[in-house]
Amino acid sequence: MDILKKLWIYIRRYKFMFYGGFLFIVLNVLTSMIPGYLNRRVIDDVIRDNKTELLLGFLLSYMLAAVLRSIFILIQRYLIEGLSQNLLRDLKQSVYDHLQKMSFNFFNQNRTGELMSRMTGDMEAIRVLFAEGMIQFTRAIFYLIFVGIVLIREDVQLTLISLAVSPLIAFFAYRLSTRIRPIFSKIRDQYSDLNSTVQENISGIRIVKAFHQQCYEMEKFDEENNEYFIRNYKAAKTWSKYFPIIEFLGGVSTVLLLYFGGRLVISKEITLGVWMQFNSYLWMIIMPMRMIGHLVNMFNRAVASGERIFKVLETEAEITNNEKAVTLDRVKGEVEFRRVSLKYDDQYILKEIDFQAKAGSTVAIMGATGSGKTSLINLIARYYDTTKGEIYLDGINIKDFDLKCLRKQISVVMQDVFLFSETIKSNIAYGSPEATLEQIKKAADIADASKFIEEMDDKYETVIGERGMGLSGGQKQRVSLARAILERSPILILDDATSAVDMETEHKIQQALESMEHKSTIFIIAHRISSVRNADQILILKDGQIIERGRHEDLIKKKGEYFKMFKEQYKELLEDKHFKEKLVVS
Amino acid sequence: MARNRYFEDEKIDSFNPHNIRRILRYLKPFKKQVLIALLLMAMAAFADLMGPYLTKIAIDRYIGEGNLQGLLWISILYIVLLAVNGICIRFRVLIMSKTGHKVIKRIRKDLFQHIQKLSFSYFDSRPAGKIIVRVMNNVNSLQHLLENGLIDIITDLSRFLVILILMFNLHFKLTIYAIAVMPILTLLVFLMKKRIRIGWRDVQKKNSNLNAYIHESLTGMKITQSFVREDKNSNIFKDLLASNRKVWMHTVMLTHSIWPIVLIINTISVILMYLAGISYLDKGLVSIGALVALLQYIWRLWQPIINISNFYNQILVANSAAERIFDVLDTEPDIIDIPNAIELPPIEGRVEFKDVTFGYEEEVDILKNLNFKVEIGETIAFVGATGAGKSTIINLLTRFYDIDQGSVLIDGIDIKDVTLESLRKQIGVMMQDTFIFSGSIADNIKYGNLDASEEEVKEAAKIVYAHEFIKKMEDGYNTQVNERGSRLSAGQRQLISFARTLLSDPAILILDEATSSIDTKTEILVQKATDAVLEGRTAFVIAHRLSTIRNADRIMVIDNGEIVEVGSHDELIEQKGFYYELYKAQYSRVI
Repeated sequence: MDILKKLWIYIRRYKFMFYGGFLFIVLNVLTSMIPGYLNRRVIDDVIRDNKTELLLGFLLSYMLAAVLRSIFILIQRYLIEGLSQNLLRDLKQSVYDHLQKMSFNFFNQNRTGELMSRMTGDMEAIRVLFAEGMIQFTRAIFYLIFVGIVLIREDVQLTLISLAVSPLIAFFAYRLSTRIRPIFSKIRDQYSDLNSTVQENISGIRIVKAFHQQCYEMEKFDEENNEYFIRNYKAAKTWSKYFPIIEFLGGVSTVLLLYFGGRLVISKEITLGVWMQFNSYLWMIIMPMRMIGHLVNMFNRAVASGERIFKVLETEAEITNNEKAVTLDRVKGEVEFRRVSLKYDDQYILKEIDFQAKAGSTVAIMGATGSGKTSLINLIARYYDTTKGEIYLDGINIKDFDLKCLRKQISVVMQDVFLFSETIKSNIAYGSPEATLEQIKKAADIADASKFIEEMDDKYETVIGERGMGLSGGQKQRVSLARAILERSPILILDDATSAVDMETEHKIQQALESMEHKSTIFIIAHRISSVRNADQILILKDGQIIERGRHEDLIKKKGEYFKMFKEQYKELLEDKHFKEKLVVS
Repeated sequence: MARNRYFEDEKIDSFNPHNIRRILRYLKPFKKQVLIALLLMAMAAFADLMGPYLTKIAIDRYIGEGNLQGLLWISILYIVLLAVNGICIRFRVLIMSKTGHKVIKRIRKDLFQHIQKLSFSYFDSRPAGKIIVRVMNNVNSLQHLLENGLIDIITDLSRFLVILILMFNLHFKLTIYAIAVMPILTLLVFLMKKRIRIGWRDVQKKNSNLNAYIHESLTGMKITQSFVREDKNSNIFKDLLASNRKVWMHTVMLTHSIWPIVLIINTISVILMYLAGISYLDKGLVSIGALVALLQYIWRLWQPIINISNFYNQILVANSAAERIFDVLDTEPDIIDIPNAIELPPIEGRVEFKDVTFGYEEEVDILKNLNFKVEIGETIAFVGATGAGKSTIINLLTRFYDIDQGSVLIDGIDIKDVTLESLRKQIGVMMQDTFIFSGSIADNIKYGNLDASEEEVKEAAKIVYAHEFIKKMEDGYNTQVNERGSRLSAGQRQLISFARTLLSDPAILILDEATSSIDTKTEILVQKATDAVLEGRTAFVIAHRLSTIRNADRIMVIDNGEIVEVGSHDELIEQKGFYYELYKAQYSRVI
C-alpha cells in the first residue's frame, strides 16, 4: 500500500489519463452488459411472446453496443497504456537521475547487475500492474457492482445461491497469493543473482579466457541457473495446487444456477430469458473472481519490485549540496587541506593531511600502493567527503560550493580509464559536448593523441568499443587525458594518468601541459621520478600520512624516502658505465 | 569494424519460422511430457466444452418438461466434468512448467556456454550490455511459449474443431450462418499481423538500446560525475525513453485493436444467427435449447481465434528473441581447436614468430612480417611507443586473436595445432585491464589455479608484496571485493592480478604493463621476488619504465609493428639507436 502511495505521486501528474481511463473502463463494462439484456428480451419478447416486430430494433442495438464497446475499449487502452508508459518513463528517469546523484561509495557497494535489474525487470512488473492489472481490477469491481445490482433486482434468492461459492473463490485466490508471493520475490532475487553472474562473466571475459577458466565459469553459472529453475518450478507447483480449485468453484456457480434457476423456470417464477440473462451475467462476476489469483500475483510482483525501486530512490546521496552553496564561475585554483582525515570501514586511509597548493602550481603525490594517494585527490572534487578536517578552494570550504560547480572546476584523469562506446570525438568532448572540432583536436594534441587518431580510418569519428576496446592501454589513457584537458579547468588531477604511456610520449605530454596558455593547478600522482621532479611541491605519502614534502632538490638533499626512491629508480642509471662519467649527482 | 553503440539498432534477419522450429527442437527430449500434457488438456477441453450441450439438454428435456429429477442428474454430471477439468489442469500445469523451465534452463546454458567459446573480436565489437540482454531477457521471452503457448495453441485448435462439430451437430444451417463472417476476420487479422510483428520487433530493439545505455551509464558513472555530464546524460536518456514510448504505444495499440475487430464480427454472427434462428424456431426446425446452446458456443468459438491471434503475438515475441539467441549461437567462434588438435606438451619455453602478419581489422596490418626467436628461459622486453603493437604481439601468443599470415611456434609446435586449453593453461598473462571478480580476495587470486591451497594463495601474494595490504584489510584474504574492484586501488588490483597469474604456475609468463600502477619501490621488490620464481622460464615484459626493462635478456624495440632493434641493454646502448635515445632522454631529464 505504501508503494501505491509512492507511485501515486507519479500517476497524479496524469490525472486526466487516470480518471479518463477509469471512466472508459466503466463504460466498457456497461456496454458489455447490453447483449446479455438483449438476449433476455429476444427470448422473452420475440420468441415467447412472438413480438417479431421488436427483433430488428434489438438486433440494431446489438450492433450499436458492439461498436460503442469497441470504441470504448480502444480509448480505454490508449489512456491506460499511455498512463502506464508515462509512469514507466518518469520512474525510469527518476531512478536514472537519482543514480547520477549517488556518490562513489554507492557504486562501490551496489553491483551494476542489480541496479540493472531495478531498471529492467522491476520496472516491467510495475508496468504490467498498471497496464493490465488496473484494467482488470477496475473491471472486476464494476462488474461486481453493476451486475450485482441487476441480478439482485431480478431475484435475490437465485443471486445468492449462484454466488454462494464466490467467497470460496476469493478465499483460495487470496491463499494462492499469500503462498506465492514470497516465492516470486525469491525468483526475482535469483534473477538478479543470475544476471550479475552473467554480467560479470561477460565483463571479465578476457580474464576468463586468459586463465581458461570457462569450466569454472560454467559451474558458477549452472548453479545459479539451476536455482532459478528450481524456484520457478516451485512457483508453478503452488500455482497448480490452487488454480484448479478456483476454476472448479467458478464452474460450480454455473451448475448451481443451472439447477436452481432451472427449478425457478419450471415453477414459472422467472422466465427463460431472465434465466439466460443470469447465465451470461454470472460469468461477468465469476471471470474476474477467477482472475483474482492472477491479479494478486501481478500486484505482489509489482509491490516487491516497487519496494526495490524505491529503496534505490530513497537512498540518500551521501554527498549533497550545502543549503547556502556558492556558485563561482571560475576559481583561481588555490587548494588547501587542513588536517584532513578519511576513514573507510573503521580504517584510516588518510591521517591529518595538511598542505597548501598555490594557484597554478603543480603538486606531485608519491607513495607506495595503498598509501592513500588516490583517496587524497578523490577528496578534492568531493567524490568522497572527509571524515575529519576541511578542504578549501580559493579559501572557501569545498563543502560550501555547489557540487556541480565545484566539479566543473576540476578535471580528473582517473587511474581506471573508462571510455564510452562512442566516437573518439564524443569521448573527448564528453564534458563539453558543445566543443568545436578545433578545440577537440587541440586537446588531443596536448595529450599526444592526435597522431594515432589521425591514423585511424574514421579519425575522430572512429567508434570505440565499450571501455575503449580496440585501443591500447596507452591510447586509452591519452584519450581520457585529452578529455580532461579539453575542460581547461583551473584544477587538473592526473591520477597515474600516463602509466601506460612510454616515457618519451609522457615527456612530450608534460611539456605540452606546461605550455598551455591557461595555468591550472595540477595534482599529479606518479611513480616515476621523471614525472614529478619539476613539481613545485612533492608530497610523499606513507600509510595515509605525509612523511616528506618539498621540491625535488630539497628532498634529494634531505636523503629520506624520496632520495631512496630516486636511488632505486636510477641506481642502474647511476651505475651505468655509459653514463656514469656524465653524471653529477646533487 | 563497425561497433555497436547504444543508439544504433542491431541488424537482425526478418521473421523466420525456422527460429521457432529450432526452439521447439529443444522440446524433443520431453516428447512424453508434452504428449501427456496434450492428453490432459484434451480431456479438460472436452469436459469444459460439454457445458452448453448439457444446458441444451437441460432446457429442452428437463426444464421444458418440468423434470426436476433429470435436472438434478444433469447438474451432477456437470459437476463431475468440472472436477475432471480441474484435475487435468493441475497436472498439465505441473508437467508443462517443469518442462518449459527445463528447456529455458537448457537454452540459457547453451547460450552461456557458447559465449564462453567466442573470441575476443566478438566482445570487442559490441557493448557487454547487449550480450547480457540476450542471455537474460531474450531467453526469458521464450518462457511463455514453452510453458503454455505451445500446448495452448494445440488445444485451442482442437477446441475450435470440437466446437464446430458440436455446433453442426446442434444445427447445421445455423452454424453456417454463424461462421459465415469468419473469413473476414481471418483476413483482417492476417493483414494486421505483419504490422504488429514489425512493431514488436522495434519495441525490442529500442529496449535493448535503452538497456545498453543504462548499463554503460552505470559503469561509467564516475566519469560522468567528474565531468559534470549528468544533465546531458539525463537528456539523452529522456530522448531514448521518449522514442521507446512512441514505438511501444504504436505497437500496443495495434495489438489491442484485434479484440474490437473480433467483437464486432462476432456480433454480426450473433445477429445473423438470431435472424435465421427465429424463423427456424417458428417453423419448429430448431429448439430453444439448441439456439441457446449455439449462442453460447459462438462465444466459445471466437475465443480460440482470439487466443490464436494472441499466440501469434507470442510467437512473434518469441521469434525476435529466438533470432537474437540464435544470432549468438550461430556466431562461429573464430578461434577454436582444429579438428585433431594435440595437447601442447609441457612447455620448455622456445618461442618463435615466423613471418607473422596481423591486423585487428581487415586491410590494416598492425604487425608486418614479424620474425623473432626466443630461447628457453629468456626474458624479452618489448619497448616502443604506445600503439606500436607490443600488446598485439603477446595477444597472438595465447591465440586471443589468430594471425593472418605466418606462424607462431612454441617449442617448435605451431600454436594453431594445439588445444586452446593446453596452450592457455601453460601461459600466464597479466593484462593491462585488471579485472577483479566479486568474491573474496582469496577467490580472486585462486582464479589462476582453483585447486590452490590457502597456503599457496598466501605464498603467491607474498611474492608480489600484496600480502602486506591484504593482511591489513578487515577480513584479510576473505575481504569481499566487487566487479571492477572498486574498493582496491589500481596498484592493489594489479598486485592481486599478478598474484593470480603467478599462482597459475605458467611455463611462459607475459606481463603487459603489469606493474604500471605500482610504486617503484614495491615494483623492484616484486621484480626481485618474481625473478627467483621465474628462473628458467621464458617471460615477456611490456613496460615503459626502463628500470623494469633493463634487466631483460633481450630488448626488442617495436615501431609501427616491426622490430627495429634487438639486443641486450648494453648492446643497444652501444648501437646508439632508438633505444639509446630513449634511455638518454630519460636520464637527461632526471639529472
